[in-house]
Amino acid sequence: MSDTIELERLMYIEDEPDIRLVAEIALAQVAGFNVKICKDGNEGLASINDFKPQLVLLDVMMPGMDGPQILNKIKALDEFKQIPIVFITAKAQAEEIAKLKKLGAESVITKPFNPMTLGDNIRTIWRNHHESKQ
Amino acid sequence: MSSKDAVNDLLSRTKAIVDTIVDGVITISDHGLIETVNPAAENIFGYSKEELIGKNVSMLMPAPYQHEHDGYLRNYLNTGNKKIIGIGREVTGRRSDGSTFPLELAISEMEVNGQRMFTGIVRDISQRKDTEEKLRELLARTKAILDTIVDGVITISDRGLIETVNPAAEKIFGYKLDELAGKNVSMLMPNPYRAEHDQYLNNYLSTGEKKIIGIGREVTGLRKNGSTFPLELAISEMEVNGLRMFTGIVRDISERKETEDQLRSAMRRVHEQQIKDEFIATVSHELRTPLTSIKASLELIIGGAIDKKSSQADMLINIAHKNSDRLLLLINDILDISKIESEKMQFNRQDIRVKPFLETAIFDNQAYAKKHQVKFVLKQCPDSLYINVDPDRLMQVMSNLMSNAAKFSHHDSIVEISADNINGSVRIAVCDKGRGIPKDFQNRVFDKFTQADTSDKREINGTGLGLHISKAIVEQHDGTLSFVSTPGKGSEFYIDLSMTEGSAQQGHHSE
Repeated sequence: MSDTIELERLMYIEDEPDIRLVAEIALAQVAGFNVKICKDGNEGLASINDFKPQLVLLDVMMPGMDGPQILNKIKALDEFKQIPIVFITAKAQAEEIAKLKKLGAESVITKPFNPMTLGDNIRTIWRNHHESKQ
Repeated sequence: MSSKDAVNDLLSRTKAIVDTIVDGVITISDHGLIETVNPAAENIFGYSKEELIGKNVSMLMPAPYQHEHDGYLRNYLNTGNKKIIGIGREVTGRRSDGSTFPLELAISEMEVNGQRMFTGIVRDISQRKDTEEKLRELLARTKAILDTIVDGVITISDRGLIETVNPAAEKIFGYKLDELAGKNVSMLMPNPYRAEHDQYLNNYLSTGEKKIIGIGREVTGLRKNGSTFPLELAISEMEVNGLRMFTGIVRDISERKETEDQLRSAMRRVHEQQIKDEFIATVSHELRTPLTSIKASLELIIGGAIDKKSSQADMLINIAHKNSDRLLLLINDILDISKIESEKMQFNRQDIRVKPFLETAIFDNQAYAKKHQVKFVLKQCPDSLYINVDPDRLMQVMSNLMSNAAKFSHHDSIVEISADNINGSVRIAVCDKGRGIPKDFQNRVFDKFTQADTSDKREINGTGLGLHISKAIVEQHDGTLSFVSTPGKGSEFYIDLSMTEGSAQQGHHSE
């Protein structure tokens, strides 16, 4: 476990402006990540090569490209196909969550999330991801 | 020609006829001995002339007739009691090879030179009998089929009169054949088809224009007990002995229709359940979204993540406040939808004058005008237009239409409100010159949780339920809510409602 790489850079794609604001405080100020917050899939995909996130958080229901579509685009990129992708969704039904996991998501966090513990949750997901790889 | 020549000529002519006809001709003496046979008779029985002449004719009959023949002949000669002479009948013949066959026999008596003689004309009817047998068998099979098939078979004449019905048709319609035969087939149809049937038939016979003949279709049948039922009918046309006839094959499909109806209603229930499930999932999603902003903002402040006196704290409180409003709007709209769908929404209808109602609408919705920097203007409204509505509910519709018009208008533009008498109905219109509704979205405008650009939901603070609710409210008033919209040029929404007596009596119409 000691040789697990620290999670530093994460990207969050979310269309809801107010949630973007609170999430940025939760992830950057509270959890101390280097966070890139994007308003849609196009913005996220345009900056992924420069920012090089180690993990991506995705909202599910978004206008234009939705979460699952963005996941597929990221998984199609050689450099990022292995990185864990986590959905953050207001769709809280068990069958919805199961469907999202089947798409290849590492984990699913439901809204409303607790901004004080969001970072810890993501670190746990990160560690589990690396442990399962070893 | 001498008389001898004439006799010879007649004889040779007669011989030629007898030699060439297909029927066998055999003459016998009064002792039953064969005197002459023609070639056809040789052929029929398989004997040569030489083998027959002088023999007892009974050799051409199988037992027991063979042994009885002499007795018959003697009896006739003694008593004059004819059994067969002068009467054609069907008997059995015996060929030289011992085989038997049916033949038609006609015997005549004559006297030649004082001697009684008998001429038998025989015709081999094996083939005819065979054909008859086959026909009988075919008829029996056809009858068995018609008697046992589940479909009703009815034949009618070209005048529409019933000629035959099979047992299934009797059972389907509840009549016996004798109650149907000779009656017009239209008795098996309810009105208006009954009244129209003769005309259809006449029309077909005179013009050849087919409405149903040759084409199966679903029609309604009438049973003897007066009940009606769905039936599948196929009609074909045929000609029998130069007469046109029609055969109708009818199948009672009541049970099938019932199963289909049950299936349809089961599918509808499943579909309704799916819609309900989707609605619940969407409602859950829509409620959780503002709740996420509210809860996270407050938790960040309460959790001490930021300084409570900082501008960031103000921003978070503002987010929580704004999203609380959004949540409240959403909850109200969802409650309205739930009331509408369970038909529990109360309407306190009363006669109201349209003009002051619209003036109030403009006054009450000034906040939207101010927020979106537009101006609401009452363009026209005849003074004494009256409608019978629940004013609070209709005001809810006006607020929805006016806030939409304001949201999607350009700054400093005018939103026109008007009312008019259109063909005896009252039309209230809300017209903006804003961005309009995209063409591909226009057929979904009244659906639940829809906005042309889903990001509008966030920017413009709508729930995506307003127009759905408005339409339902207007429809509960027996009115219609419609629109015309040109992308880039603006939208016009129309509420059409019945005009109440008050308006008509006062005779006010649009100028």
